[in-house]
Amino acid sequence: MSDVPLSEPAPGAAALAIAVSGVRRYFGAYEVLAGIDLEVRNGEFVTLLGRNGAGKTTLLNIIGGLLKPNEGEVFVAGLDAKSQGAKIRPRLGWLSHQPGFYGDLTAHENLAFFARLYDLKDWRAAVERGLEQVGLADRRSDRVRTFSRGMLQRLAIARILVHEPSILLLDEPHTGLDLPAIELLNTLLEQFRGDRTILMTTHDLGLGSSLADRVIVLAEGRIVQELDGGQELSALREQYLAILSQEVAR
Amino acid sequence: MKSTWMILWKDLRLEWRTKEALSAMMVFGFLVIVLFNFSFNPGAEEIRSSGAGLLWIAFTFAGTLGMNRSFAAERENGCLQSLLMAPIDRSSLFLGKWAANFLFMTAAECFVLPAFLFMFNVPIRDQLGTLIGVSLLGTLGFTCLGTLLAGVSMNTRMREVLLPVLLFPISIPLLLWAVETTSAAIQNAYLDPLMMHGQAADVARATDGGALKFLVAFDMIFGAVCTIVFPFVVED
Amino acid sequence: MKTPLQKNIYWTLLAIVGLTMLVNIYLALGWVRPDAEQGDIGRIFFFHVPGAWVGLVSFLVVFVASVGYLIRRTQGWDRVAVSAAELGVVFIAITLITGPIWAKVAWNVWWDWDARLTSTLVLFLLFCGYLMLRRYIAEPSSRAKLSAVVGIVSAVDVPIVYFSIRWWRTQHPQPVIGGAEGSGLGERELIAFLYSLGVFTLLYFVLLIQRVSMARLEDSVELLRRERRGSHTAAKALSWLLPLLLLGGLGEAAEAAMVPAQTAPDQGGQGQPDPLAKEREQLEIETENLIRKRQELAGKNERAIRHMMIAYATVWVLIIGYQITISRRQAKLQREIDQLS
Repeated sequence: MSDVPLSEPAPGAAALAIAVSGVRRYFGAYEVLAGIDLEVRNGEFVTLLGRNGAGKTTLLNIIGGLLKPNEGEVFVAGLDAKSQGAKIRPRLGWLSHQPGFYGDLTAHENLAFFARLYDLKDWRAAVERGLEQVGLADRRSDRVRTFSRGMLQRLAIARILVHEPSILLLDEPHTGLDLPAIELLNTLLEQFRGDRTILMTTHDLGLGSSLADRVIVLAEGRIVQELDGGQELSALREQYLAILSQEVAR
Repeated sequence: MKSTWMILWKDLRLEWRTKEALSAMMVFGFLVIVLFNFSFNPGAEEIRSSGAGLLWIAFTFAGTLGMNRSFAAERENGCLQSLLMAPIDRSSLFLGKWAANFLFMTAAECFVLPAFLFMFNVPIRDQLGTLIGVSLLGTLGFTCLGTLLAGVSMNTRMREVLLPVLLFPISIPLLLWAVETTSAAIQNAYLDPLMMHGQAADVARATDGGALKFLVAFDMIFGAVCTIVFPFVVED
Repeated sequence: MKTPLQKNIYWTLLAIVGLTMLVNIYLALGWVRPDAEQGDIGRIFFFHVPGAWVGLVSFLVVFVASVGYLIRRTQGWDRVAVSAAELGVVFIAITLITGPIWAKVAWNVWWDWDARLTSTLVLFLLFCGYLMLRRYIAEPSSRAKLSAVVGIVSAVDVPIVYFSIRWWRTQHPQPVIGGAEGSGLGERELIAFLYSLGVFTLLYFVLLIQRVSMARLEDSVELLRRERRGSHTAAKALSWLLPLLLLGGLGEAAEAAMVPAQTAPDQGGQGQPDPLAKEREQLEIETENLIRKRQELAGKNERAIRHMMIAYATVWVLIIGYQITISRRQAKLQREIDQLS
């Protein structure tokens, strides 16, 4: 795998990979995000921590361009997410709750399909590399319908690797993974640090927060606290529990 | 337009693997024809006057069945999201889906049309060209609207049920013109042998009254409108 | 929340419309001379055609509002679109109900698939599809966006529908049952007709304003409630409408069924040989025929007037019924707002 990401940040872009300011999002009368300000620098690893329903997925969807905010601005790699989504997408790697693969195509066919959508010159090699890195090379000709949840997630990770994006958006990537797979994912994330910008959401403090540079706590559509990553897990846990009880009291 | 081609190829390959939609469409179209026989007990006279209508009912019912599924697969596993995160034009997504639906509906027609000609003994001969032409043009417009509206109705509670309710009223002009052209072709098919033998020299050949060119215009208008409007359906 | 000024403006507008409507009634029912062939039933023309006309205007409004929403994404455009669609249904219902009444009395067929009526029916189906779509999407911005898309496609289709159905009718001409459009419109009739068009359009826009403001109230309530909306007003208003429509239609069917049978004329007895006998007989027969014809016409006209009045009443029941539905719903929403705030 090359050290330099295939897709460079926009020339002249600020050092900010992701810049979110004043973002609000409603679904009908229900306010999911009530004013979010967030900055992620190039090469930073940020974890968004929050309970289910705190708005993590919505925020990620907005940053990725799948949703538009009702209010506020979103800039990714220096480009406006609302109007220049097409330019942003080649630089983004996306991993969501849903696997997003075609059950009746094989693993290889799935990856090849998506790889070619990214207009890669050497997609065959990239697909092979991706499959090997996640340990699915021997299952390349099996239909995805037969894959377990963990294998689907690994395939999704492979898909991200293929077009070598500079910014990774991961929505609860550890969900459904067994221990070896979690190890694999954490190893890969470790490799990406510094190279690529990573924004990951999770509701479980134990998964991957120790890798993060920053842990941002989201509750009820608001950012309530920022914790320093890299601390001991127990210290982080104490802090998080304190925040949660504050929220409950409120 | 490489992505259009990729999406089309993907849909074709998926269908080839399972053959679910295609077989259902063919069977259903054939069923409509069989039911017609029991409902109307048609002889040559009835076929000459109403056969075109029957054919297009069979076509459109089969087509609607297929188009309902076109976005179901994308929705099922969240594939649509993956497609939207890829750097492709939203219009390419539409064109690819439209092309796939067009080919599937045409494939079903390749079964239903011969079945119709065969089971009702329609002497089609030199009218076959017209028949194929109008089928293709009508299917083109119908699948264009159907692909767009399938994309719309997949976002609602009533998914499959809503598509025909939306699609058929909007397609009425298309059906009108398609049936008119098909009807003229069928009538001429019955007429030609008689005229050849001089038995009906004074009977005027049926014309479609220019329906074919209106059909082309319809396809062009809605081809443009649907392509322009589709991105709004899939994006926020 | 409606300010007293807004309320005053609205009621003034309504009063103006009411007055112009009264004038319209006078013109259509009194001032214009009864049609030569059809008798008084022809007066239905003056509100049957404006109904279809308003349906077309409605589609234009839906188109503009849909495009506006997709570009601007403010909820106001969506409110206008749904209000226009609902009102379109009401006014087209007028056309679709008065049409068969008129046709049955004047030409003895309920429905003859003529170009204008059929096109109006398709318009009705397009509106219904639009409203049905809205009913099945819960989330407001998604609903607004998707119905805008369908609104645009449907609206683009409308002129094509009219064109294609007219073309179809020229390919398959019927014996001319339905009156040719605007044929034989005298001066009085033309004025009354144009006036009718204007009044109905005015009525439409006034009702539209009110319906839009009701939509705004609903959105306020939604915001105040902060929970997912349970029912859909479009469907609710429609559900008021359908029983009304059914009642109107059934009443008509009942009336029309009770047509007195006409007895055939007897043959006269043998006449005495008389040089002028033949001519006298002829004259007698002709006079008898004339008297019978006049009686027939009078009887027919009586029935025609009765039917026309019922048709007219149905129109008013529809319009006033709709107005009442909106007003009651507005009052309820207002109460809810006062409760919640």
